[in-house]
Amino acid sequence: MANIFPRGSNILPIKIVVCALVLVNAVSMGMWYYFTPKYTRVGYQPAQPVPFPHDVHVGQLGMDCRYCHSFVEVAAHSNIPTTQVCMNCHSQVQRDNPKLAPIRDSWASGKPVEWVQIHKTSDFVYFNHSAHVNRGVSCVSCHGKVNEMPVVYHAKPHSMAWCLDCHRDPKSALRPLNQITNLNWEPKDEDVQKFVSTFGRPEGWEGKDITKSTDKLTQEDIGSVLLNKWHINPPDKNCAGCHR
Amino acid sequence: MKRIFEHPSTPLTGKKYWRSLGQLDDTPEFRGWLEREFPQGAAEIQGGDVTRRNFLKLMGASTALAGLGLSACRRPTMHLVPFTRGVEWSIPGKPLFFHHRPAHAPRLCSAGGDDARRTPHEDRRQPPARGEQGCDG
Repeated sequence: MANIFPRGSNILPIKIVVCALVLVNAVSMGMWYYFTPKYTRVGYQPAQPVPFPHDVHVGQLGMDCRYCHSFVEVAAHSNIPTTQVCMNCHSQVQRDNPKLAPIRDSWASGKPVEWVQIHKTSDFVYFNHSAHVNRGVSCVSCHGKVNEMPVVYHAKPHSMAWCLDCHRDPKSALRPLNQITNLNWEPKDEDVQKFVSTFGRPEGWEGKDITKSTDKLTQEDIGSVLLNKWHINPPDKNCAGCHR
Repeated sequence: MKRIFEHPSTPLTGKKYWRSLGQLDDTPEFRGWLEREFPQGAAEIQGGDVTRRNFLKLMGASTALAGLGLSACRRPTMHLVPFTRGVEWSIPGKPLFFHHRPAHAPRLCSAGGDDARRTPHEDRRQPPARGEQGCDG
């Protein structure tokens, strides 16, 4: 009787194993990248009922973030402004702009404007805006340069690994509280004398004559001083810190 | 690799086995039926333009196209709905305590606060708890 399986089938188990390994690797690598917020969230830019240009309001007019997001310093939730806040100015300015029709309708009818949510923290995560903003973490650290966005988009991944990057190294994000909503702030812009007189000297600056020195502060200098000054110790190993 | 499987050849001598009654009868109708690859009615849906082949073609194509691009695999659009007119003193997510005593209500305590404490959440005022004395001030 002839052989049922041809000679070539002797190598078949090895072929199957190799194929399976390649497949498993490809799937896990694919999921590693494509199933993470780095891919699924960054760049999310939905159309809003009113195309509110942050670059005009903040970048050109110089409005502070907290004029509209007024409770960011006192509440866990950073609020979206009410129609009333829009109408504070737009009852005077751009009164006939057709793009603002939803705002005027909302003001007339009392029906709120439904803005499309971009940044969404999962329900199993405790996140408090005020805790971050009052301890030297700027808006720009999590939301990107909103002051340059004509239409807001999701700029940072907001994944757990991304949170932990900062929670394990808070120095990289801390800045003086008066620069929290200044999204264009750079560590080198910081006035050295003012900083030192307010918060103390950074490590390595002990003997330096700051009145004559032209050295600039770095993020490392500023971050480490503020970290010690404010006793910043974010939860980085304790799961219950954020998953309460 | 495709293998052509051949049935064992029919033995010339000895018993011959038949595989169906049709083969046993060996009528011309049965031979004609055996020659056709697809018996009548099996291959095609009869009548009209909807043939079996066309049906499978269209359904296969539409299923494949429906899956293309994962059209149903979208994040649901969620909305943020702020107040139209701001509510005084209210901070989102924080209860606002205030003291309140209806005009007709009697004083509850002689000293300290004489009001019942109310805790509205997002301007939805809560009724006082049962038996609340409200003299915590």
